[in-house]
Amino acid sequence: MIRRRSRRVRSLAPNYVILILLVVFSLGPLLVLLSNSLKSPGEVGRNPLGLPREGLAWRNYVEAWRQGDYAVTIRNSLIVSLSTIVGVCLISGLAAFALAKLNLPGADALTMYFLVGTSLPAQLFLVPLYFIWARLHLVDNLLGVIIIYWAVYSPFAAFLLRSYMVSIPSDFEDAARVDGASEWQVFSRIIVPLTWPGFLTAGLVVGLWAWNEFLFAVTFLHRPEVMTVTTSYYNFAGRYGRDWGLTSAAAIIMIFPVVALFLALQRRFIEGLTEGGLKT
Amino acid sequence: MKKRLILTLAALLALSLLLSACPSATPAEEAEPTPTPLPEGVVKVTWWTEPLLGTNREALLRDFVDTFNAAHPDIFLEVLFQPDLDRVTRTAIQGGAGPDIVQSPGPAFVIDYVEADHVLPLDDYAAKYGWNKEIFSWALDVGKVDGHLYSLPLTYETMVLWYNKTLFDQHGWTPPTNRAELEALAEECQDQGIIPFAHANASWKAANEWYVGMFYSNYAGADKVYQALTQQIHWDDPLFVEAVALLKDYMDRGWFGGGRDNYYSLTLTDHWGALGDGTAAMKMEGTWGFMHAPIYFEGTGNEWEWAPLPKLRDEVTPVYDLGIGSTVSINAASPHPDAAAEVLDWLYSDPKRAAQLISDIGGGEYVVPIPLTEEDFPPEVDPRFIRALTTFSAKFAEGDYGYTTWTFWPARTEQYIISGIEEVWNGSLTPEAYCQEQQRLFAADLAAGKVPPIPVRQGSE
Repeated sequence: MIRRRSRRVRSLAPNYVILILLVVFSLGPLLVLLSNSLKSPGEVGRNPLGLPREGLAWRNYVEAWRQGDYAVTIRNSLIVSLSTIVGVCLISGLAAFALAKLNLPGADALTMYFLVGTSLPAQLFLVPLYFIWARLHLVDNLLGVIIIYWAVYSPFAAFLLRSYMVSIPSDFEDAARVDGASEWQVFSRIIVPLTWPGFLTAGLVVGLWAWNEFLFAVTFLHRPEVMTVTTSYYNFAGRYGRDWGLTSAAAIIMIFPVVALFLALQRRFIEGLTEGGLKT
Repeated sequence: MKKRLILTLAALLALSLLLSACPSATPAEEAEPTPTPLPEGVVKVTWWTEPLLGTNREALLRDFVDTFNAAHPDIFLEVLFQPDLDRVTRTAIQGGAGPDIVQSPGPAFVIDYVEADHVLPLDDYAAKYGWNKEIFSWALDVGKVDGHLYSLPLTYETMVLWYNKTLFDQHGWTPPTNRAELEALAEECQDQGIIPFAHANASWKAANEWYVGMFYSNYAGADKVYQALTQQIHWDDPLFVEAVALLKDYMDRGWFGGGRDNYYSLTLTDHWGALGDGTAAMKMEGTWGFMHAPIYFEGTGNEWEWAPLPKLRDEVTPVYDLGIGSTVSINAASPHPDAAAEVLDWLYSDPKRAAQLISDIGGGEYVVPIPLTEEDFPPEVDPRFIRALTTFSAKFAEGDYGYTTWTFWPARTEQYIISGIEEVWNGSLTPEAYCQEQQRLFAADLAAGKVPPIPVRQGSE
């Protein structure tokens, strides 16, 4: 028994070696980040990879919080992310329902349009969008960025939700219609509860995207009171240099809420992606 | 699962409310908030500028914005620190909006704005405020397109030799003034296990062009560079080829960063750290180093110092290469161009105010091109810094300067200078071929009107 067990351990040893190497590979940069977040900028230059040797600069976290204006930017990012989740789930849910269940004429062409729309680089329409947004007073306005996120993230979510909805037998909807349900009631009472994991996954994905988004945020939000968390990062750099101590501390502050959310919901997150038939 | 999600979202919402109650900045750092609505008769001028590190940000707001607003009750100046400044400004201006004061990374970038009628000519304002008396003539010349003034330099910079003074004193070394001294010192450093030059480009590939420009100026000479910029001679002239060959030789000897591998893999932070702790002895870099030197020497017990770059050929007169770090113009869509011009004048009209701002920011930014003397600087300022600024000011006032590639070269040729020199260093391109390709690109850019304005060099035709 013991011999068999030790043989099994020996046969698994290469697996463990590979896994340990992968852990080191993936955690190494995070440990360096954590270590550098506790160094002065001068020490980062003299000792970029080692542990802090000149004392622990805990003040980096306080300074990063203060200079990065995180009290404001985290609040704004939460507002933007939560609004994006709600809006995208509503828009893409209805779109997916229409595409999957209503036998619309031209549904395939519309699906193709969504697909093409998601593959266009944002830089192509940035200038005309700015032109329109400036005239609609949506520049320096969180709603302006939220509307953009609704538009650019909804096609992906619609695809994801559509793949859930097509797998639901139409008998459920037919039964509801026979009982006198309107299309809205079919959607809200039948389809949404059955595709809830899909909505959860879509919400998580677009929420993370909105949290980390930089291009639209930096282009359309200029005033400090509306900036989001990704732009805070630029407060630790000038044109000719960067305070790496503050930058590292800010990175830890910035990724903490995202990592916490992911860890709390990671099982549903991964299951939702695979169950829907789409993988990223 | 639903319950867990709702709890998570509720926690995030509660966290956001809690965080929003935390203080974000000390009162000293905050810009004066925009009064809403603005009092009657007060106009607002907006200016998007590069983000600055904490204390520098405070200095700009205190020394410039607050003093301007206090002296101009009819104008409210609002400076916003805009990440990704050039691209965002470009997008906003093309979208028919953007700030009243347009900041660009250099005169070459302004040409595009002028061609699209996005910025206003400043000739009338220059006459009204007497800028031709306050600002160096070359500074006005580089801002001209087709004979009209469109931009003013916000920051000028030059290249110098930085060195670890403590290390030099310990070994009895002095800063080299010519090629023989430079090479002897570099060899001695190498023999003692010290990296001669703390150079690297992993975090800023464009650092390559610093060295090409410096070797052109200090080997071929500034007059020759001027002749090539105006195409009286070509870039494949033997002097430029020899300068590139010398640069390759120094790289081959392992003097830059300790060898090619280190040069390509280390960052600006790493090599300033190496200079600070004495792992390296010198570095050739721009005057933005005044912002870095105090940071990377702090806590090392070592002292930093700067010196002019050594000449690399006996026939050459040493010069300081002139670079324009950023420019300012007035947006053609600005509803208040006169008020914007008033803001620009505030930059240049008082040497003491300018010196205070330069000193508080620590060099590198807002080094405006006006004559400055020692008396203009606050007494507490580092004398090494004052010596530098007053030296450059005196030299540049006489029109005695060399040329940096990022200011006077067209963008495409500049990009080739940066990427092509790596092929030379790696041995896949000869210095002759590198210079010939530069000449071909430069001639094409010149024909296309892409070469930035080259001020007439004193003593040249």
